[in-house]
Amino acid sequence: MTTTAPILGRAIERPPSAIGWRREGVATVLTDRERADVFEKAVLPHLPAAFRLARWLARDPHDAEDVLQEAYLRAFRYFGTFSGTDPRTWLLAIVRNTFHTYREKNPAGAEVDEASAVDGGDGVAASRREASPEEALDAVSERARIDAAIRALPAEFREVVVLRELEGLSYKEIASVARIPIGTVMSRLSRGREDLRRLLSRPDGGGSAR
Amino acid sequence: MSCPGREEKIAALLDGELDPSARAEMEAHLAGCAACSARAQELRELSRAVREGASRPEPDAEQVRRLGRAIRRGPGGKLARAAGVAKYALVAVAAAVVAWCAATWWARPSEEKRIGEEVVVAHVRSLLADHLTDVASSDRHTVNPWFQGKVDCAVGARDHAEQGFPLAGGRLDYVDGRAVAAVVYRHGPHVLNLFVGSERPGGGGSDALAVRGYRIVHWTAGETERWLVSDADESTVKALADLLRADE
Repeated sequence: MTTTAPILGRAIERPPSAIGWRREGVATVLTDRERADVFEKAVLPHLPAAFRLARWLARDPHDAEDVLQEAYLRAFRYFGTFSGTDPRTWLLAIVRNTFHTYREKNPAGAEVDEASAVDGGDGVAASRREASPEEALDAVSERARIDAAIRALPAEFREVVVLRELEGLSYKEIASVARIPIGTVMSRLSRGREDLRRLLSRPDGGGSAR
Repeated sequence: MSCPGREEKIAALLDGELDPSARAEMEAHLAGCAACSARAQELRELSRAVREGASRPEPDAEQVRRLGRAIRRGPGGKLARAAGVAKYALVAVAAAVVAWCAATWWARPSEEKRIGEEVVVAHVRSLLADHLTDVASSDRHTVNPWFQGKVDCAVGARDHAEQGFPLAGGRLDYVDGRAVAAVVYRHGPHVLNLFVGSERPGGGGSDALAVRGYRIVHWTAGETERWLVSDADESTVKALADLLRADE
């Protein structure tokens, strides 16, 4: 990857490089405009996944929003150096790194009750429209219980559990997001799931929240 | 409890992470080991409970707009600059067109997928750019005439506030390199964009697809093609699509 300013003539000469994120090992020379365009197509559609990861990691919705904004700024800044094939994994790795930097600068307060931090308040009712009131209530409390248990996991276990169970990433993708070896992914996932199982088998649903 | 040393292998089996020979070996082991097979069942149920039960928070339109503003005024303001540099614009557009042709030729995604991606990008762009509507009105007698002369087809927007989808307005947008009408509906925190353009040759048919987490319903009506797109859940998008089709 060249670090010099983009040269328009070269961009025209070598048009396929505009999709540098699909072609490994090809030096990418893009104009700002192309870069914004390719960024828009490749990275913006992964906003919901990035948003969810920021929410689960930061727990506090305002922190999550700060993290997400900073992550997207970084993503745009570093997009020129992105040479991989999977923009989602790349973006999630940036969200995760941004979160850890953010946490160092802004340590979380005591583990406050953030029961509403993740469900955002409205998602629960909206997705259960056809259930009877009793079923809906059960679903809400079941959801709150599971959310609280996930939030109660220590950060290093929470991130692998969320990436695997909720975002459906492979071990290899998780390893690249969390920058840990696959063996560590497996051991953290096992430990995280075991903690989760224990929390959920408690009658009060475990977590400190609710 | 599983046998010593088998715990992570069981998880890897359930996560689809074992190669065929390791999978066969684990499956054979599970068939003969009550402890491990009980553990596998326990893990399977846990995964299902978490996947089905946990919230999946989604950004609402206001959060997406705030994010868009933050990106544009961010360090260097590169997005804003990229959008505004007039002297490079012609050359850059030419280069982008060449590059895009090369990229589409190289990647050759299916036509449906490609239009789907374009529709999603147009939808996300409308939220990010703080440019949801050119004409903000819930009155179809204001919105429909506004489109006249701007797009080459009849739009026929209607308000569906009674069914929970108030009409928010309209704007001109670009999908697949042509001007299309974008009719904007709201549903709680979600924005739904209905893109209406004249029918492309061979562009008929109707289908529903999901592109990177966004739901798209596509159909043809009269001589127009319509795409409804949103980050709202599938049933919500389908519900509005059904209402819109009933209008036609």
